[in-house]
Amino acid sequence: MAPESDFITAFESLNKTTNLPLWIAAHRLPAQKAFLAKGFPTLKDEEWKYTNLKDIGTSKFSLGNTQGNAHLDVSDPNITIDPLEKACLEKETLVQFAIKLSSQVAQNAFSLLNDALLGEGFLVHVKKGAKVGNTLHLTHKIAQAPQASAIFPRNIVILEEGTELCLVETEECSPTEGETALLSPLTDIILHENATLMYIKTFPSSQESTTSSFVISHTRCHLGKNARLLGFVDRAGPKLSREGLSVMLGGNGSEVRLWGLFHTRGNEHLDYNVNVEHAASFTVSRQFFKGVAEDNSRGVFCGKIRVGHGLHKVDARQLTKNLILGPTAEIDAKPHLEINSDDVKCTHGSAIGKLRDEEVFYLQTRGIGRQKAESILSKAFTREVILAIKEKRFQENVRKHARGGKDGS
Amino acid sequence: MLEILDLHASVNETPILKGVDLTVKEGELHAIMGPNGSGKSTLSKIIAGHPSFRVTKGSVKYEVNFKMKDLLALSPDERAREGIFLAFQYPVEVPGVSNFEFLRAAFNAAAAHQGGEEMDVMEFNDFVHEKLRSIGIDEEFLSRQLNVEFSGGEKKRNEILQMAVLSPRLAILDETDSGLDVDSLREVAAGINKLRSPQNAMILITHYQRILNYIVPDKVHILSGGKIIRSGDYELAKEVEEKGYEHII
Repeated sequence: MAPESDFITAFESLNKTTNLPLWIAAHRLPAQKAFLAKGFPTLKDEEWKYTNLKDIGTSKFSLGNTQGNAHLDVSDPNITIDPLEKACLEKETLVQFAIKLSSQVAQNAFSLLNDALLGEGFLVHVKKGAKVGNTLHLTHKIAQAPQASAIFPRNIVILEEGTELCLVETEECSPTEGETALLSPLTDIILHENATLMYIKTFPSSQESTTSSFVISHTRCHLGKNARLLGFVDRAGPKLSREGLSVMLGGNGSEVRLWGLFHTRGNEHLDYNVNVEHAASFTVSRQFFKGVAEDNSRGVFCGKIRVGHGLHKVDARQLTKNLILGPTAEIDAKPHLEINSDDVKCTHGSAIGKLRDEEVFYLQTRGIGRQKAESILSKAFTREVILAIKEKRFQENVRKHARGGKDGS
Repeated sequence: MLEILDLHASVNETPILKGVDLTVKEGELHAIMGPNGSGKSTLSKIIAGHPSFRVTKGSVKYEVNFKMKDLLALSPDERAREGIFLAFQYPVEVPGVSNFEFLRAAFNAAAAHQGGEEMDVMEFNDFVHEKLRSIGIDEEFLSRQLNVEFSGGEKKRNEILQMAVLSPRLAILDETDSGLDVDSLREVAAGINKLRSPQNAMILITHYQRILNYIVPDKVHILSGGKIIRSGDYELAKEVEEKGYEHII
């Protein structure tokens, strides 16, 4: 049975609900058709060539209810957080605007599926000029689900002009032992003029990499004039995870700085897919990603920079460094540049290597066993990403909230 | 404590050591001198267990719990936990690892092996500060990344700090004097002298006699062409200084 057809029943029952505004049905229906026609990506799709989804395709999922949570450390009148269903009724214009703009940033089978099922999740809206001092936490999780379940939460985060926010998004996929789970959140972020978002994506330390859990996560972000996105992403486990980050620098002078790390073990498979599109002049992008693959695990970093036509003073840099520790571990690092303007500074670098024997020997001569030495050195290797964050407040937040940011983790 | 017999060793199939004999007892400090390429560093790396060097003949025995054991059968970290310490000629830079964290990991590895208590951060902090004071090293060393952006002299002093923390039974100091200015040399030598005791032994490997102005060895050996060609006392080092290696070889 083709896996996509599993969703037909889900779509049909969803389409019977009548208490939602008409525009939602009008939004879901074409996405449902498009998803069923397109199907899940295969290895033949360039953007998915390193990640085989066949295990997901052959799993039987039932659509679960989202165990999502959104809260601020301290409540703030300048920020509203609504369940998405409520927002679809009461803040229709905002939701529609964000969805439309985000679909211009990126679209794939999973975002279509998310559109097809649109309803669960949150709308976060920061009012014009507000600098929100405390942190917003968004959590999606599948934990102890009684049966194989799949959830597709949608979050929409809108920062109006001149605002600031720190957002920590946590994804947890720990199904009951022996059960399969698919967690596939889509987060759409709109940064208006002069808005700054500090964005941290991480996973809880309690998450074990079970044999049959999958996380396919995607964030799409559109930046207006002089807007700024500082992003840090840290992933490990479950069995298969894919982290998509699609950023469109849509306004002149906008800037994105992304840092990321991964550390895979066992049979884990992790795929970072980062797309930065410079669609305006005077835009800046930075990507610095480091990964470690142990045992029989596999890590992937595909980073794409696209610079549009007729732009000026575009400055883009991308760097990825990776470490292979296991005899059968694998890392694929693929930079991809597409430059359509002349007035552009663009650099990229990619390295994959092993630990230096001299470093390991040095630690061993101080009585530290080989395994422990490798563990110390690989943690030190990824820690460099955090040390590279020069924006002090963001680095503090990363150290506080991200799993890989903590010493000794 | 250490007994080396007819040691032959190669690196990349090239023979470097061609029959070294050396016996070191507790409380002794031996200086091994020799021209470049004589095999001094190879000898130190073989004692520490560097994987690139292959012993082709002979034996290295080391006393563990009053019994002479085959040192070559132990991994580098096992040797270290049994009390062998190599101060590197070129200490390795390890970005991302703080000196403090490194020292504590090393100390606790040895403590756990010897059945002692591992120290938590607070306890170790007190312990390491006492060591810093005893050998006159600034505490800012601790928060820096291991050997990263250290000057040549600082790297060598950091090796002495590690030695002070680990209190080895047998320390091999591989050209610890190389690349040091007079002041640094004096500081490093003072640190080494502080750590000498009747319970431990040291092998000081050097090209030049000048560190021996500050550290007086019990025995001096001349290594040349992969063999110890002469052994003597402090007078032999003076002879090298006055007449050069050519005269002796």
